[in-house]
Amino acid sequence: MGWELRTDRQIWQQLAELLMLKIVSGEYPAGGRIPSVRDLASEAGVNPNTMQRALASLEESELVTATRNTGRFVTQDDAQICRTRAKLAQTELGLFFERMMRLGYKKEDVASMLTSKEKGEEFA
Amino acid sequence: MNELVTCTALSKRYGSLTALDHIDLHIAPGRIIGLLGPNGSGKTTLIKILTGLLRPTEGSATVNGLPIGHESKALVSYLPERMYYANWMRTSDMLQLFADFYADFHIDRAKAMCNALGIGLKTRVKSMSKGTKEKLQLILVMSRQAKLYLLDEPIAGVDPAARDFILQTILTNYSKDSSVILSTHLITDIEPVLDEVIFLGNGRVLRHESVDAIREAEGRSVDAVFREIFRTIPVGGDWPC
Amino acid sequence: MLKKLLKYDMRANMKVFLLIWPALIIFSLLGRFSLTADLQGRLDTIFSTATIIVFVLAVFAAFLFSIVLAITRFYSGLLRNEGYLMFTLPVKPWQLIISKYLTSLITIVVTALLSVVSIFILCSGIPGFTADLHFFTAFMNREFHAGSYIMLALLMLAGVSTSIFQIYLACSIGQLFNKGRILFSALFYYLINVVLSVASTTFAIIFGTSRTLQEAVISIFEGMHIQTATFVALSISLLLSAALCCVYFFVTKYILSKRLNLE
Repeated sequence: MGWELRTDRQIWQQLAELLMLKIVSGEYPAGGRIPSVRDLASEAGVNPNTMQRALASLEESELVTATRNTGRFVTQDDAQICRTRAKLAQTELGLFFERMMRLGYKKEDVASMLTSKEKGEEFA
Repeated sequence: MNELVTCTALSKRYGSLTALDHIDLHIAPGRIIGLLGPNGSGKTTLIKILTGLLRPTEGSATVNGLPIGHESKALVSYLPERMYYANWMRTSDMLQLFADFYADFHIDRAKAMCNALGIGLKTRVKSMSKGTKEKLQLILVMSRQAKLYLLDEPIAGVDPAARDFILQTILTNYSKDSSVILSTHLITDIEPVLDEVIFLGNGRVLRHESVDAIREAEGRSVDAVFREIFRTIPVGGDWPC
Repeated sequence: MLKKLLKYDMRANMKVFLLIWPALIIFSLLGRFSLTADLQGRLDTIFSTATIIVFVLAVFAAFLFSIVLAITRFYSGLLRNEGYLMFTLPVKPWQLIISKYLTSLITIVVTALLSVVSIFILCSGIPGFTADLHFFTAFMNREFHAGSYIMLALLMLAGVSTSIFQIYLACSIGQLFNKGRILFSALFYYLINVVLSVASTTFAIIFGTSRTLQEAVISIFEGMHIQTATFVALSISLLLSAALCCVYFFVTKYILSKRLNLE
């Protein structure tokens, strides 16, 4: 997964979101070790202090735990990861619905459209 | 936290031309700082004063608490915007020279970087392409474990691959004890790498803030802010509007 | 640090002189061979004339190179792009100047010594050379004592040093200008010469018209042995040369420390 960043939003927030995505998607598995700030920063092409800040925000939401000597690990707590996944899904859905409304659909339409899409049917 | 660079009422005049006008600057260690401004805003003059190539007309500057002199030079790694090779030298001569004069130079790291970029140790500097010379100079500068890196226009006129190499080198070399100041007038490419920016205009510090603070306050990129501050109004014709 | 600087400055010069110096000796050996060789008639003359001309050109080229290098190693090595490297090394400006100076001095002195040696090699092929040499040394010993020889050597060194530092000073003043630096350097070199000759002429006029001065000088040398008098005269010139050297050096050091103006 890449590190596409926009410069008109806080970069640390975008980094935090991308890191969450990597954890939820299993790229960084539960209990697994997260690369060092320096490696992550150079991989993403961002300032190490910015990456530090993004990781700190994940620590705050207890998705990541930091130990003094061995570095950072993804939480062992699956429930915590599920909650994060749900939160991300909520945001995505919210955005999706917002765009569909703008196209002129109602929520009920969208629901039925999703079912037919799932079945591979075309909708009129 | 102790300061790495301190400038107090620093001024530099060339005859009647004022290049720097009473600059006050405080830079902490562990920062990557963009020194931004249009051509002629005093970026190079400020860097040259910190390296000791120029003497200020007024005011003072210190690096790690030391006045600018041979002791401060041992702590500063400087990338000028020109080639400084002697024409008789080979890559290995330059590496040895840096190893001889700078106690903080890691010759093995420099050799590894030369290998990675396909720069032969026995190649004469004179026979290298401009791009290769620039890369070698960057390798020399970044293979030091200096306190302060002063990079004057490192990304102007280089191809995207070289630019990525430069930024990657800066990031992998990052240390809590040292700071990097890079001057540029092309901010878009380097924005994600920066902690702070210093906007210089007409020899004055117009703004010196963290990039997060700028984005938070303005809700847009530092590049956009930069363009607004230094917007030059095109000189129109004579027609009525 | 000065040692390290010298290492690089010497290496830069040796790139050229490790070719020139052996060439000098080889050409002198060739010349000697051509003088002693017993070739037939005209061929012999052509061969020996040609080798001697080549030898003379080689000596001339060696000196020219040592002087040109003294200028360019200072000008290009400190005041142009290379200056960005040299003046950001953790060394003091005086070390940079002295390193360039010692390198040039050593190069010039070795070139001079090798030229003398190679001339001896060449001349040893001429019949009767040893006898001439004895006559010459006998003449010199009459005027000079051992101290004077050392003094003469020192005076030569001082003369070379003064010339080198005069070039350095002229270049340092030249770099203060933003345009036409080389032209200004040459101009200031010439101006320094003018100042010096005006000073010495003025002194000569004062000396020529002042009885008291003349008597004072005469009283110094009165009753001295010719050898001692030579020694004293040489000492005075040496002092003057050394003083001039110091002035050039300190002004150069001041300019390069406080008024450096790289392109």
